[in-house]
Amino acid sequence: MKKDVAQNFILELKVSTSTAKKELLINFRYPLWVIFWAIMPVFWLAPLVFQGQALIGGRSSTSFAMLSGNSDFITFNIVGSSLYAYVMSALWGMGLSLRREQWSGTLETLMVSPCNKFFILFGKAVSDSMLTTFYALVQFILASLLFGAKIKLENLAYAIFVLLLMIFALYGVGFLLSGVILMYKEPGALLNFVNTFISIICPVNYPLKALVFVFESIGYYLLIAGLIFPLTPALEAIRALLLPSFDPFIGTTLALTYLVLVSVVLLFLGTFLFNYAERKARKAGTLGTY
Amino acid sequence: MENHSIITKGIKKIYKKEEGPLFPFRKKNSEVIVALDNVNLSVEKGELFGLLGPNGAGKTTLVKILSTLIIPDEGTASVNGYDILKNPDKVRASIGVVSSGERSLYWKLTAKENLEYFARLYKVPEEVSRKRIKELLSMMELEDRANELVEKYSSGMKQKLAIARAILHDPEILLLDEPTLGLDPGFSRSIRTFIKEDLNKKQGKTILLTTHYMEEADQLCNRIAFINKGKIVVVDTPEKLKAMIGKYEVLKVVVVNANEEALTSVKSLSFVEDYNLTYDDPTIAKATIRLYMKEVESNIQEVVGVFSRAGCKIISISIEKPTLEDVFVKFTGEALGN
Repeated sequence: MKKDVAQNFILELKVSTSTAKKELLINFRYPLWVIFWAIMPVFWLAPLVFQGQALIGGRSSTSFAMLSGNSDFITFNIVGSSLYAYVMSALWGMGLSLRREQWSGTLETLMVSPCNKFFILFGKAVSDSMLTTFYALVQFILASLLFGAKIKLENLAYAIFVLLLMIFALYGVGFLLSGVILMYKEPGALLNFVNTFISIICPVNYPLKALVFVFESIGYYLLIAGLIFPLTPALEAIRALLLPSFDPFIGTTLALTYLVLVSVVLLFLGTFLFNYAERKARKAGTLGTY
Repeated sequence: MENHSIITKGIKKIYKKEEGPLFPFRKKNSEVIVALDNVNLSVEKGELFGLLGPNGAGKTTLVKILSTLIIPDEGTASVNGYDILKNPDKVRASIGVVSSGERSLYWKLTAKENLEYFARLYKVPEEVSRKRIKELLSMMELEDRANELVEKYSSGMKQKLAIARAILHDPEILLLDEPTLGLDPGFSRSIRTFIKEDLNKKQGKTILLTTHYMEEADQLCNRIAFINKGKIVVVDTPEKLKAMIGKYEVLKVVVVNANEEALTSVKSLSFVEDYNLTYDDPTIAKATIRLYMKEVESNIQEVVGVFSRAGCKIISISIEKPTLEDVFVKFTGEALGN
């Protein structure tokens, strides 16, 4: 009995690895998109860097240092933008991939297979993470070459561990959005809204303290909203580990504990909502409809 | 019951069209469509069973319910002895489904990559799947192009690959939804032969096939169920179905300038048991009228006279044996093509 369960689990895991392989194969058969996503975010970052340099007349700012402990706003932004790629992937990757399956007609074929659909979704998430890691690495290297980045390499392994925790938490967000997309189908407006909102409340391009000190009362609300999303504690912890003299708003241990908790909650919520949406779609007969 | 692979019990499915000014937050049901209404069917083990009906009759909905893609509003079904509501995963493992044809494949993958992926989804062990994929590609005459992207395949080749995907895990039951739809006659013929000779006769698979091509159902199926507007109208063998109106022959008349007077007169002829009218070209009132009667030959002159007196121009006139389409018309009053 135990052997059967173990064997079945291995076969289900193979569903995930095959799904990841399939997704990567299809992605790399559109090479221009791969190049686009690897390079373009660096150009999106460029105006920010130019504007910042024009405003402060260099790469160091004392007011920036007051809010973050670190005067180098360029390295701060390079780390933020590279991590933001994972949020973009969680928002636009998994759910839209399901929607693409629906458009192309393959979703029903997946849903009629006897495997646990969680493992299909997990495979999609893993392939997204692999692609995003590739994109984030290219972005980081390119941005470092173009604008210069100074990081503490001795903490890299620890930072990767925090990154993995954030990726797991974001899987939950991806599952959640996949469920919403399966139910309501039209994801564009929702995803754009969430995307913009996250870029406001999470400290991708500004120090977290700026919310409170610059925006005062409304900043507290934005800060609380930002802390709910896993990107914020992950950015705080990773910057504390990689940037010289970075002074985090929340401590690394607290950030890590919070990330573990939020990963569990989001994964549970995401899986629950996806299963609910799947059943709802089967009831409404809309699994295969555009 | 043990001899049955598929049993449906009182299946009902209603679709509600929901709309409202603040969709999806505020909805109102504006239209209710009864897709299936109290469907009771049983398909025997090893049988090739046809579900014949016009577009929108409910064929695809029934296949989707049997394959667990749609949950019925009322009733249930058992597939390979498993209840579709209680044991959906066991049902899924027992069936192979060909639905949406060529669209059910990944066009940016090769045939081999497609089959390898689906083998994992159906939990076929790798050593078994390697051999099986080779066999299937050769059986479908696709081995030479196995490493080519599916997007480069013709529709017929894609459909063959979709069938190979459906039988990859060697299921006992196959649900084939319009397997020859949109294919050229050559490919249709080879797929029909494969379904009948290989899958059904040689491999003994139970097959539920939906189609709106009466020749396909007639040629392939052991038994046929007519479905119309979500209801099963009649179930029997093609021979018995045709025998139901077998004592009648069909006089097929194609006329131009078909008019009310001609149609009323011809209907009222004492020897005309039933009729069916299809307009081929409304601009010139070109119509095909099928008249069901006994002893056609002795009544032809009178029919010709009626049309001539009403000012219709007869383009052709022929005597035909009743087809399944005629049986369908007799039971539903509608043509399959409608």
